[in-house]
Amino acid sequence: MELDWSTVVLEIINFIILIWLLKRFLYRPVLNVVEKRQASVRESLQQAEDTQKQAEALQQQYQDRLKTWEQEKSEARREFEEALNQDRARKLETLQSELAREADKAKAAAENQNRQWRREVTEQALQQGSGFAAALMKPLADQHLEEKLIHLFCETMDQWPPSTLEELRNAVNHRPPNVPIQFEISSAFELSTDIRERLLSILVKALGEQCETSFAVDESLLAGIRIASGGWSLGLNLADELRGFAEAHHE
Amino acid sequence: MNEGIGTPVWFQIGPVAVHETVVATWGIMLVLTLVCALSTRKMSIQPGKWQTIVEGIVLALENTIANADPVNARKLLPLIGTFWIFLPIANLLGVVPGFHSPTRDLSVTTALALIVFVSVHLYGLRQSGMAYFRHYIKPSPILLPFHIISEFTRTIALAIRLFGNIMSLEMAALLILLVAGFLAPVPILMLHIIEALVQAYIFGMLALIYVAGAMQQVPASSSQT
Repeated sequence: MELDWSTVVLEIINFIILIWLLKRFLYRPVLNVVEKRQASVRESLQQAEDTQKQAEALQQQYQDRLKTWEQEKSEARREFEEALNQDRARKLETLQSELAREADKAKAAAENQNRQWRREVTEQALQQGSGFAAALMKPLADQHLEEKLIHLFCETMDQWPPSTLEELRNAVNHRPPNVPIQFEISSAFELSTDIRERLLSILVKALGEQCETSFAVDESLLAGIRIASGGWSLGLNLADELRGFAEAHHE
Repeated sequence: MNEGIGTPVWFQIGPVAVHETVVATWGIMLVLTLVCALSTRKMSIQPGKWQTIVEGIVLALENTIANADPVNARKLLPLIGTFWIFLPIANLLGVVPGFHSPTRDLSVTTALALIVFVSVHLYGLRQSGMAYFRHYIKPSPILLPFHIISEFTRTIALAIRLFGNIMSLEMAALLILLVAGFLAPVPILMLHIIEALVQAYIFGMLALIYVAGAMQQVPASSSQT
């Protein structure tokens, strides 16, 4: 155990050289490559952060677009629903008015049909009544009944007001000048001379002038008379009365 | 070769006697240089297995230094890292049959201790300038002699501790071999391996504490003035 100073000096030199060698061949290369790797990692991290920021910006942009699109969609849907509601309301209103119109038409048609039906029924009833009455009256019609009817006719004509008489005169005055008024008097039975004269006097009295008459028998009248001149006629007989009764509904 | 405490002289260059320990140190230096040069010849960003191991060793050394002095870890790595690389190899060389640990020579451990002694002051002065010497009179100038004595005693302790442990391990293995015969010193050799690693770690750690302590004697703000 002795201290050799030459060894001490040589070992000091050796160790200093070893420090340099290791620094040159070990520490520096290793630390350099580690720093390069760290720089590369930092760069990669920076790139990753940049990429992440870009991705976040894109995400934000897409979210904004989605939000805008959602708003536009909601707005479009609202407008569409509003237009749909308006169209629906308009169509509903049109439909209701059409329905009301159709209902009115149907109601009118029903009323019309009802009225028509009632008229037809009434007409049928009247015709049946008329037929029944005619069938009933036919056996009862005789000359006596005819005379009663003529008598009733004469009394009625006597009681005509002046306006009615004037209308009668106007009706028979449509004839050529200087031609006497011609009457054709039809009856169910042959008229007696008295009755013919009475009828003639009644007519002359009503018209205020002379007239020519011809008499004819028409059994279809059942009983009574019919006085015709030109296009008009008047009288009192069962056939016309029953026909008038049957046609009273039309009037 | 001399199996005793002394180390044989291999050759003489004028007045300078080159002992076995110096030659062994050269051998270790040569091997380390070759291994390091080959290992770091083709460094790449994408490391292979061997590069990963080499980088792991260097970064482990730097991290261990950073635990004691985070600010100056990079500056202290060459000195302290070289201690932690050289000393385990030097200590374990004695396990290899036919070789002796260079650190069983007091001259070698003294040289290493002197390097630590000088490095403490060099790093302290470089870090703090002349203000570095203020710590000798803190907290009181009365402590100046004690500080000076501690500088020398801890350096001597550093040298003696490493020398004593490694020399005694080899000596114990030798005595057991002489007394008990072949294979009997194997447990002692296993103890030698553990002790060699522990002593290398202790020497490097103490050197680190001394140098880092010197660099942290004066706050960084006052050291720049």
